[in-house]
Amino acid sequence: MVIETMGLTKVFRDFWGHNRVIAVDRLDLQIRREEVFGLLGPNGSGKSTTIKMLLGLLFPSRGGCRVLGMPPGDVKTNYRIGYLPEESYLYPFLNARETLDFYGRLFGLNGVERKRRIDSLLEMVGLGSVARRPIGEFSKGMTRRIGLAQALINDPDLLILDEPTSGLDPIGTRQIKDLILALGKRGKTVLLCSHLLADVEDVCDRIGILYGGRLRALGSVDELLVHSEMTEIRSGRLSSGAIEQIKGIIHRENAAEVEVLNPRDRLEDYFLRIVSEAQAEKLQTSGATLGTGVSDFLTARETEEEVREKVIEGLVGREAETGTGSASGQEPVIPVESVQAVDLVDHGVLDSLVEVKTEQVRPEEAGGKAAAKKAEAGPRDAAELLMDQSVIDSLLTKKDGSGPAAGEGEHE
Amino acid sequence: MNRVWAIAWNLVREVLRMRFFLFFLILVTFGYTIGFSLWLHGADSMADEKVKFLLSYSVRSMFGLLSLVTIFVSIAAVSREIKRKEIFTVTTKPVRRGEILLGKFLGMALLHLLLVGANGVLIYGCARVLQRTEPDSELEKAKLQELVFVARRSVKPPVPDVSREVEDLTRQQLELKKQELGITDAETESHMKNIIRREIGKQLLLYKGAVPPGGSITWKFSGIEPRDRENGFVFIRYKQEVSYTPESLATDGIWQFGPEDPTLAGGQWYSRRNAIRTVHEFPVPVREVSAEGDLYVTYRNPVSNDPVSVIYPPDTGIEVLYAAGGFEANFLRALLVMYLSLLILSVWGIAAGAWLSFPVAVLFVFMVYLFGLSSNFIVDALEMGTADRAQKPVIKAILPVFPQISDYHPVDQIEKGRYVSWYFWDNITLVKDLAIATVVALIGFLIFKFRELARVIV
Repeated sequence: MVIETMGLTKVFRDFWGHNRVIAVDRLDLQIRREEVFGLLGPNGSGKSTTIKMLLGLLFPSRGGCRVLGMPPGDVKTNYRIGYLPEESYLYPFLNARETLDFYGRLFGLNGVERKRRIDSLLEMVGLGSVARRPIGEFSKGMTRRIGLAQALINDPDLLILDEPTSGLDPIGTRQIKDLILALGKRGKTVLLCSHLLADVEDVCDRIGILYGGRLRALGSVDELLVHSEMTEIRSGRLSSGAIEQIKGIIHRENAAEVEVLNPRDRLEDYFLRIVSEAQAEKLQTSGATLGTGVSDFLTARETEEEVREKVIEGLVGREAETGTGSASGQEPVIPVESVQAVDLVDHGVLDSLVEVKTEQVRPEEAGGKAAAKKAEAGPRDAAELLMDQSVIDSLLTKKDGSGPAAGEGEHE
Repeated sequence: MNRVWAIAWNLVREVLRMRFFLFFLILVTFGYTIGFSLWLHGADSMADEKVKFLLSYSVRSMFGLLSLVTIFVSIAAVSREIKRKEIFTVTTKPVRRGEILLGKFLGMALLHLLLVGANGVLIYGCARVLQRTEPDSELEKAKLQELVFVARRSVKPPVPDVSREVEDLTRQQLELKKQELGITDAETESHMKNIIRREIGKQLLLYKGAVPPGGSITWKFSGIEPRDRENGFVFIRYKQEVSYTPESLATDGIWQFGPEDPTLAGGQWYSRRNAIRTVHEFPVPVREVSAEGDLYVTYRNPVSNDPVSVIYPPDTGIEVLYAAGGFEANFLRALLVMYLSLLILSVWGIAAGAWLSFPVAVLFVFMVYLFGLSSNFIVDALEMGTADRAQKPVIKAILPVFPQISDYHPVDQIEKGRYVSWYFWDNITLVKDLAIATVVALIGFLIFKFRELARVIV
């Protein structure tokens, strides 16, 4: 277990020592390795208090907890933890680069490594162009972005994110969700604490719901959200006659009401498309930009198998350009190394990978990880998944520098 | 250690980027301190008086203002970081809480190094400019060099032991007073005894330093080690009190000095007429000091002064001064002592900030600072006052806990060209304050280590 709480209780006492409120009440929770866990709850339900106890900022009144097998606040364990508090809480007098440099030094990173990570993270969170501006002059969303970057500077095994998308624009929200997904795939454990249900649903493997300091529900997203008593059918455009026929069949099968609607984009998807187009036209902004993919160091130390897997992921991402969607229903953020990895692979390997890819199953609709899992339940038309050789060729042109730079172009 | 330095440097950066701080630094410390002091003193003074005033005023102002900065910044360094929750992102990194406090302390040390250094250079520069521009004559120039731009050690004659006589006389006087006033209860008797003892002690010491008309007194000063044993001078500095104030407000005096007791060995006499209750100084050739560093000085009160007895109070009446070092090194040592004082104050500030909120911690450290500064006054008031027997020892025991900075503040030495020792541990009060600061730091660390840094919000 990465995180384990045993009857964790926090009682808030007043000045005279009288119990005033029970913030967390006998919480038993286990978060497994490589899991993205969402801790949900309304305001004041004890989410942040739980996180603060896990980090040693608060001490339990009763019960206990272990993080990465050690008691909270253990210095050695902290090397492996990244933490984004609910309001970032950064030094306003430092600029973005100095902020990351400061936290990098606290992790004992050497100068070269620190600089590499800072450059990479600043680009990743889209603050490369405002790296010299004091954080005190940042908008809340930009502060969140740099807060996230500081939480990642040590390439943590466990990432604890408290309301990570609060104050972020849809671009930032989307990037954080993509990042969480990418980190989850990389085998990192993520504890996500939020009251924005859509965010949690999109990225989490399991969720726990807190209310009044007590755990009210715990399980995988599918377990908790799938209505097994209902069926949803999606299809290309149908004639009204076909629709009526389908309705008739359903009526015969089940007397319940049948609803037939045209699907529409989620506002988030639409917004992102507009911003991407604007950015492609190189319109100026004084704020954060779209950012690059996941920082290279966060995806480093991969096995050969993982590299191959990334190539495939990269290719799936390329496919998203054709509008067929991805695991989260949008252009995926392809790790920079996935493009670099392509350079290391010859045509034969790529061809074989493409062949493998034709066997892959891709989510049919936007809706994140939970939706992706749903999509994995059944095969799709293999012909639709066949990769165009021109995509591979365009990727390979990067080897001689004629193509777009690594880390760029994935969002186009 | 890199983590500690990162935290230290972060604090320095924070302070230097405060606009208020820059305003403070430029307008107040530099402009006010030096500009105002020169303006205030006027143009009609002697050069040495001007430089003394500059040194005294600037150094005092610098220390006072830096003390304020120290109190505010050291407390804010921890308490405001907890309040603004920036501490969340630091303590959740691989940093021990002790390292955070150590980093803050080192940050304060770096900051003070910068501030004391910058102020010191500026004050020194101004003093040297005045030394070049102000003297109107060679005599003024020489006086300035001899009295101000020098580091002189002081040797005082031993204070005579009068304790036995004091006790005998106190007993006699107490019996008389008891009969006279009909005192019966023990508490009043004890209080009365203390007053009588203190008064008799003071009078006896004055009596020992008193020279009646026609009489003389000889002092032996030992341990004089002038830098230049061949040439130059040592200085006899004295201040006369009198038993009866003459109309002229001045007295005659005949002086004699030498490596051996002049009353036995003979030697040349020098006559001087001096204003009473005023500090005077005259040079004595260094050859009059024996190889062992002894100098005998004899004062004769001529009958022309009759009926005035001239009195040299044992501690403040007379001393011998000799050049033991240069001004630069002395000024540097004075800055070092002030630097240590500010570090002591920083420790109190950081420790208070580690467990109290900013306004409460400021109040607490101000109280500590003011009690420390006024501890001598409080002790005197206790001696003179009517605090009961139970209160006195408690207050007397508590007072030394506060940093008694005024006891070792070197501004007087700098102003008067006195030697400030490298061996600051010779100064028992400073060593005591450093030791107490270490204990305070330890208490602050323990509180910070075991306190919750977040608040429960539900």
